[in-house]
Amino acid sequence: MTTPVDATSNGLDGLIHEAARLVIVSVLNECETADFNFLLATTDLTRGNLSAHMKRLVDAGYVQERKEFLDRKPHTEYRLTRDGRRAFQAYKKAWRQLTGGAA
Amino acid sequence: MNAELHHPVTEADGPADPTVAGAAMGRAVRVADAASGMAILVTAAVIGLAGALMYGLGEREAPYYVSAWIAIFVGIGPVYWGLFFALKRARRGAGLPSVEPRRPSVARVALLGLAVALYLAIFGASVILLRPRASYWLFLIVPFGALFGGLWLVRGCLAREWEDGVVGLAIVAISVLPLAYRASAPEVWVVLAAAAFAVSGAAKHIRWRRWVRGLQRGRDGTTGQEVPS
Repeated sequence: MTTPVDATSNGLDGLIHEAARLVIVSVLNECETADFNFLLATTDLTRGNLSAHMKRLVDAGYVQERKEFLDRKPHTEYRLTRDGRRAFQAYKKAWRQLTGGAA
Repeated sequence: MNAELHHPVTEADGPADPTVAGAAMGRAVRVADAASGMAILVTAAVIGLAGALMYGLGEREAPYYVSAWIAIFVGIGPVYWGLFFALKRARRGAGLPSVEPRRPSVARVALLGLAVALYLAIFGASVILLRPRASYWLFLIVPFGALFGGLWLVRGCLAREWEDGVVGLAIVAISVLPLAYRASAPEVWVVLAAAAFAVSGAAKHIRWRRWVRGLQRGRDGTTGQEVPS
């Protein structure tokens, strides 16, 4: 996993400090669980883009994924893990310190 | 195959934009909250009908009276969550987006439980000290309704969800009203509170239906918006 230098040097989590993933994590932080269709509709990302970002968040242990088949159609549900919530809180704190509480 | 399906995700996608993330977060909160509208509406209707039935029976001295009320209030949770998960399963089965609003943390639930226990202890002590009177239930609902209604009103204003603000105002009003009209009964309070929640649930459900219809219109190609299939 590559982490941008500007993010780590400022104490920001490189995995979250990316436009699409910050949107995804922000949305998931407000939900207990959300499925792929809900995330697709609320984040305005494309299917492929969302899928790839979700894989990275799942691989990092920030998001828990649950796959099942309903009427032979795949259904995927996501939940922010405890580590994911902690990382997002830490990210928000670091961002506030960086911007002097502007965001 | 759509080329976007193979859009490579790299860090070059761009740094985070808190404004965009904030807007998506606000959208998610409102929609996730709206997803529970039907469950709130039906639960409130059940509670309201139970209150109306108790009022109709009018047997406050009957041995079952207190037990029946306890059963009604304890039943709110199971009825609501049972309905919510049944709806969630149905939406998933229909291929519609499904979401569960964030639950309060364990610490918040514990704090709330402590506050309710303290409140009931104060109520019990006041009933014993003041001796049971016909209007003793006012000691239970007036402070509770004013506080809970006030909190709900603030929550609705902060979240910009007018239906919660209206419920908050309604709860405060119907909790304070019995002070002016002593002839009112506790069952009336329950029925009115349930009616307020039913209106709120209906408003949330309408918002949810509009959101889903917007997605379906997009799917049908009648709008330019890209939506899930």
